[in-house]
Amino acid sequence: MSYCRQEGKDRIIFVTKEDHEAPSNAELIADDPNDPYEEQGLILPNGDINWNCPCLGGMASGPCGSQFKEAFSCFHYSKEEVKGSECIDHFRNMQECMQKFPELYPQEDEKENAPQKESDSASTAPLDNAASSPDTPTEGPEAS
Amino acid sequence: EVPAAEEVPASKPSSATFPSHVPYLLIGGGTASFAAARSIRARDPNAKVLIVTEEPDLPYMRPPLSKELWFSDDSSVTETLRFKQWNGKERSIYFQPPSFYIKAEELGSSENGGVAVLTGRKVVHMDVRGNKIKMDDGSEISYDKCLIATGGIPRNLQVIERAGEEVMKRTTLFRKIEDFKALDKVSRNVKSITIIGGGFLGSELACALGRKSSEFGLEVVQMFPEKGNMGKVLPEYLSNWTTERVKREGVKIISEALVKSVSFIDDELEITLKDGRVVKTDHIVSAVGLEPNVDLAKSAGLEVDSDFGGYRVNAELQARSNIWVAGDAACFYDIRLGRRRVEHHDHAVVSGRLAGENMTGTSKPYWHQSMFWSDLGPDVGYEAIGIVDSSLPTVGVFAKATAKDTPKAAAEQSGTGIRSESETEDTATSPVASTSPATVVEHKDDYGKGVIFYLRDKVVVGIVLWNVFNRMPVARKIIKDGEEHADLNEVAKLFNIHED
Repeated sequence: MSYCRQEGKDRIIFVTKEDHEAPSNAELIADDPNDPYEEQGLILPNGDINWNCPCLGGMASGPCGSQFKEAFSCFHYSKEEVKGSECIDHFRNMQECMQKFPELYPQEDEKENAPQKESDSASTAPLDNAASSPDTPTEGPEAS
Repeated sequence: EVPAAEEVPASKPSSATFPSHVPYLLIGGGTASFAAARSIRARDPNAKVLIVTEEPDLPYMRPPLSKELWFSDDSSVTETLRFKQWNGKERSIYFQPPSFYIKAEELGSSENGGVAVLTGRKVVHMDVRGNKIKMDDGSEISYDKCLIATGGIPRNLQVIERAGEEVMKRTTLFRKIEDFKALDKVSRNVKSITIIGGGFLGSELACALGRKSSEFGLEVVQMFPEKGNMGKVLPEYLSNWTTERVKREGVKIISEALVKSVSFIDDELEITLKDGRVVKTDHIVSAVGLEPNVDLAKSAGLEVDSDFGGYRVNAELQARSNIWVAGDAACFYDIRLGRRRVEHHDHAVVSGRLAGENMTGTSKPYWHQSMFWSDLGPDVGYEAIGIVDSSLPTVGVFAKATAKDTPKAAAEQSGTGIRSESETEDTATSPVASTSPATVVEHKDDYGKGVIFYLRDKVVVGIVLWNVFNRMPVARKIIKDGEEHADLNEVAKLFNIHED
């Protein structure tokens, strides 16, 4: 049973699991998915990519940001049967750029063989998170 | 356009050349500034961003300076400034390594733009009409858009400032990397440290030092005017409960303590309280608040808020045309909660990101409510959002605690590291269900886990999630709705406080 007491202006309620079993009757206002004020996920309501999504970490803003954006945009809008097949050059540019900054963009095999040396803000970890989100492509052409 | 480069040795960054004009100028090199830089670059391809900071360091995050860095097993932590999170993942306090940034002198010519940082430079004058700033060496930089993210400097007690050289040099005002390094050194070389202040910083440092106390043979004292730790944030019953936990971390608590004077006598500091008690100690950490840095207000003709301090900005964080303010120094209009100024890490990220976005042409108001958190030892952790002021009436709904309900357990389960990351950098992953049976803690008034609502005119304006984690989106939603709820126990149900 729940137990309740008042200490001055502060009310304290202790509840058991059973007390909270029945669904809540508290009313929440329905969210507007097109609310321009709201923080957006990776994909905006109009279908564009939200480069400012925290889930991307530093990918769109770092030294290889432009290359990343070109490659990812190309993939995102690709209508080819093999999605992103026309984007190989962009992804190659991106790879070449990233190889110049191993600190920021640890390469795949380094990640597997050695403990991750650098923080995950700029590394592929944010992309891992992006991949697990339903709005993003889970496999880019570079994963083949 | 780019001034003729002088031959400068690489080790003297203060002589580095820089462009005389930048499109985006960010004054201050902390969390808000870094978040803005990232936001600008994300939205404006090839943007050229220059950060000017007084500090010698590249942008870094502050929360670990009073928490994780103290718990590190690595003896070289004061050099590496890296720490291992609960889940074993290591990271640096620096947001990005040096290779992320480009050199200031390359900013003008860089095709893809970039973020450059000028360290060790103070901006001393702002000419709003001319859209330019002047630095302490006399040089000027003009801008198209400017962000002021100058944070603040720690306050000190007047009695300490008046107490003379010998007391002042044994007093730490804690905010920066150099303060962390200095305090670490002090903690290994003295017998007693006294922390003055019972808020977030004071309590976190007390707990961090308390844990070291047996290792170093160190006495850790914490004193403050309130009745308990976090007395201005948590309702009294919870503040008292927290204080007991802080004591268990090895801290000697002196509550309801008002400092009357401090002297240096017989090679020791003597703190005399107004009620006559005397505390002898070797070193003081003064954690009594932050003074927002509004040095540029006069020259720039910017408004300073008399209630909250800081530069006064609108809901879109703009002070005047082409000038935005974010982070600790911004007194902004929160369209849901009213005008306020917030001194938390996540707010610096959220406001910095928003200001950066608006600097690239949008006009979005502050809407996504930032959160904050504190861990006081392995057993007490909470996350909070909105206006969390203990002078407001509160309603707390608690469940019986189990051994699983600790910040450590939550982080291990959810696979996230420090909470600052889960809210601002990565997307939080959902917790993995634990298969071990729960041990139930039997005490009737044990505030193991729960949710506390702070009310203003019957509307929930603040929420503390007490040892329940990964529920922030629900809390944020309730604040955003701003509705009157007849029965807060029903609202509490939305948090599933009995689950993991």
